[in-house]
Amino acid sequence: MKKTFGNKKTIAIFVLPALIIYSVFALIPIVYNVYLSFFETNLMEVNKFNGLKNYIDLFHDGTFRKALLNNIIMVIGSLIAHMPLAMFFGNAIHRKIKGASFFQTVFFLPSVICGVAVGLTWTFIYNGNYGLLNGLLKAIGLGKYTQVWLSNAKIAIIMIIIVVMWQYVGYHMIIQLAAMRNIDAELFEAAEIDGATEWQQFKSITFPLLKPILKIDAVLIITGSLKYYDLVAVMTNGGPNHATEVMSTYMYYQAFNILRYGYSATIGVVLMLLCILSVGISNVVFRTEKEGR
Amino acid sequence: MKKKTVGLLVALALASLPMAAQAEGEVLTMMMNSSESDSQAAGYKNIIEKFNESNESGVTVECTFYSNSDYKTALSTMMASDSEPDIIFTWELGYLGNYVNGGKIVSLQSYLDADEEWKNHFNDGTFELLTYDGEIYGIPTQQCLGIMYYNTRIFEENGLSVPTTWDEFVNVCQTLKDNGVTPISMASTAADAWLVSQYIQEISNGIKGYELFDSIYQGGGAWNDPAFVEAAQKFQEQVNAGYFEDGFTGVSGDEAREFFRMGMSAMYFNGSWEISNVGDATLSPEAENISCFVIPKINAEYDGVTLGSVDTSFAVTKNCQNVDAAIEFLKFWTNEENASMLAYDYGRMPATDWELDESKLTPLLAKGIELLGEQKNMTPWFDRVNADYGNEFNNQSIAIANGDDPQTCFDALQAYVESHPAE
Amino acid sequence: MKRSPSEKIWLVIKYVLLIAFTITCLYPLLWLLLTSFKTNQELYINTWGLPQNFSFKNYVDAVVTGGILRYFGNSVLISVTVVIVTAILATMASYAITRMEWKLSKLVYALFIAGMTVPIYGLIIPMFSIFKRMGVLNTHIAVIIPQIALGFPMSIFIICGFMQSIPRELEEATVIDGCSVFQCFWKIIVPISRSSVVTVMVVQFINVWNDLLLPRIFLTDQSKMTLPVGLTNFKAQYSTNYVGMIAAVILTIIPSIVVYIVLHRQIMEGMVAGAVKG
Repeated sequence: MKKTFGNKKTIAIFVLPALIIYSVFALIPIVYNVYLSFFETNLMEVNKFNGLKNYIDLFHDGTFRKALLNNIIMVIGSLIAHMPLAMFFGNAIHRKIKGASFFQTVFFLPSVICGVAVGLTWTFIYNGNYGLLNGLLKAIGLGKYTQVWLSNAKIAIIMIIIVVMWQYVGYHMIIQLAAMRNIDAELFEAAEIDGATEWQQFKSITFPLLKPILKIDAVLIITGSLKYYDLVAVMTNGGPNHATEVMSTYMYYQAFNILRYGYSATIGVVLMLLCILSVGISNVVFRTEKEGR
Repeated sequence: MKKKTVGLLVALALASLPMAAQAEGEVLTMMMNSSESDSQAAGYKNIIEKFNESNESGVTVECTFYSNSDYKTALSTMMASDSEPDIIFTWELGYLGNYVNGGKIVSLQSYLDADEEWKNHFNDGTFELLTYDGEIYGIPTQQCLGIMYYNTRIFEENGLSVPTTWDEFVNVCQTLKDNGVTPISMASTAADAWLVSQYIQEISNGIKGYELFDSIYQGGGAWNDPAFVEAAQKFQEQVNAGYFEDGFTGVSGDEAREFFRMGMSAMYFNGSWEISNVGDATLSPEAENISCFVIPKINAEYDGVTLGSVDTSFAVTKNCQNVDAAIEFLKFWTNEENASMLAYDYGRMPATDWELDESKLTPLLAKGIELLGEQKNMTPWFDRVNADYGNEFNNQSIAIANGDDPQTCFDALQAYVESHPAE
Repeated sequence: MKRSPSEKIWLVIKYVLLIAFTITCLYPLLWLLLTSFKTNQELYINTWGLPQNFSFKNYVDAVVTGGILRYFGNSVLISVTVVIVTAILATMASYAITRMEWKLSKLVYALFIAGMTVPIYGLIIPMFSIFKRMGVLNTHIAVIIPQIALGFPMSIFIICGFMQSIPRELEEATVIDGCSVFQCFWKIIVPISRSSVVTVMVVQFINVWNDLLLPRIFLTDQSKMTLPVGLTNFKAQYSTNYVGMIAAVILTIIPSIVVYIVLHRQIMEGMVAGAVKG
């Protein structure tokens, strides 16, 4: 058996195509990026080895700290919308509800629409003068809360995160729903005969069997939120006055707008470390649960 | 299956090969900041086509157009990996300065000196913004000015005339406000931060004149100069008095223009590049009623010091194998025929002094050119002087528009500049 | 089966929430559809109402001036190639990592996963240099290859996660029956892993389809650009033709919806058929 599954040639055939492409076009650039993070450079005349100065500067950089905080809020918001909420919808659809495939298709739609269009639509919804949101507030007698949502530095990032939460509920629901459909229907039938309520069935059958996919999903959500760029770039581009800056927009700004490639690379490296940390944490959570079972 | 994959990749590689051997003869590559939706893009394409058809030496120009949002990213990437095209669109001052310092740009001084006639056609002061260490590195093709557009119909209906002093300007705003007309529409979302900062900059010109700009430009000046703070306070007074449209901090550039074009506001602050947009009769029922003025200065002695700069400049990169041909192309672009075509058909204010046929200019553009001629000293946008500090200035301006204390904002800006010294 | 009162209430709650969310998903689409018939002026003056007249001018603009169909073709070519190549190579690599016995498997896995943590924006400059050296700038390959390379981490992560749960006895039995590793891979592992591979394809498709950055940096010819870049053509230096852009968006959403509706049946059927029973 070992011979069959340990044959070096076979292994190479399976793993090398991906590994080679990946090494040349992803690993080498990553390593180069780490290298750049120790320099002050505009990739032209300025090219000064800086040691850890970029990292120290970053630590003291108020805008970066704000961006980091915004990313963390985004991680939390996304975890709420894309785990419990998506699971709720997934479970509801899974339980043979009328119109299941309709809901499934419709919920998935927002994630297919490109960011430019989603950003545009929501910018109009949030508009201060004739936006839908303000109209809605006035209609239900909360007129005093109306405002120019995306220009208020205190809440602009929350408003964007709400859109991100909304956009990808269906996407994560599909991932979770696919796993739910893999669960043997007989299990539910047996539980029903035993008189288990829907909540009991979810707690004792669906959820435990969903755990492996939830772990994967959690990693996707966290790394996705830490690297997030699209809607922020479209809706506010990090403004007003850096209020909605996230790490990616700040990194982009540093590199392409003011040509501080070294500093930009440093943000990239820190972002990478944070992502690795979060994957690590997810793995630890996963392990303890496995042992506990 | 793997064979299939490889086959697919090979097929793709082959499909993209013929590309390389497409052009015959010598080709100059060029990149331009303009998109299909800029009406003047058609004018630019026209110039390039004419050049390619008429040129005897057989050199053709192949131009790639990038939209404004992509241009900087694309060019900086190419610069960083030594693959920039031969001729590039550029902004003046700090933007081109980065690439000049990086040893990427060809000095055009000797070429201009060799053709005094060409050189002398450029308006006074335009080359200064593209000069580094005493040598000219870029060719300006257009000029721009920060101007206040106004609706003559609305002014007449309210018995108003063009203000000539700051107090008159404030009075005009107040009268309009009292009569229930929105005085000024201006965009000030995060993406339009530069519009707010240019308004503050224009007011500051009237407080301390060119000296203020120069102290920042040359170094030595402080961002928390009382003149900046005062300008920001004046701006905030106007905000609080309701001179700008409701909820203007959430109004986008397109929206503000639309309000003005539809006659829903009396004035609209922007740049002279908007002449073709606001004066377009197919888009604006008020097109015939639109004219413009320069915001009067708080201290009359600083009349003629106004926000403005060169626009749509070009530079030749060190990648260019045939600089002579590139120069020939730039001469063609700036010749009388093409400069006036861009003015007549696309409302572009030329940076060259060709005699323009008044009858072919729209009244609005004629007015704009007249205003341009009246200015003595132009103060370019700070984000063109230094992208880093200028962007922070824009950011603080937005904070001021949203009601933050001007002194605090400019102190913060000064602190930022001090902690990020330029090389 | 009869429902208890509490179950009925629960059912009502579920429907209310599902329908409420349905509205939030459909309303923006409806708004985009209605807006696509308006003029840019109506967009600001009559934002939420019905268009004054249903003119197809914006669609004509989108197709003729905007050249949106060509961009659409490019987007399809790029995304389909990326999705297929990524799925095949990632499935193979995942198989080797999880099911075969070799010392470096854990290290290789870790290397792949590390890529998941990197934002693409940080890798543009080095990639540009590599493509310049390869001479593939301004070809679709320059967009396809990095998408494949950067798609591996997530794909391998998902597929490996799934393959680890497949009981080993299954293949061992097959090998004893005289099948080669390749046969075992195609006949046993791939069908079982179908749901995770489909997930990977969906995730990857959405990433590539919406990507704005790579095409606009690695491609220069307008004729090679993808849809999201095509949409930016509606942006002028100081203004934007929003209604034209929206018409273009509508044109591009329709095929995606049709493809999804057609595919999702097959996806779900495939998943149920391939499900690990018990």
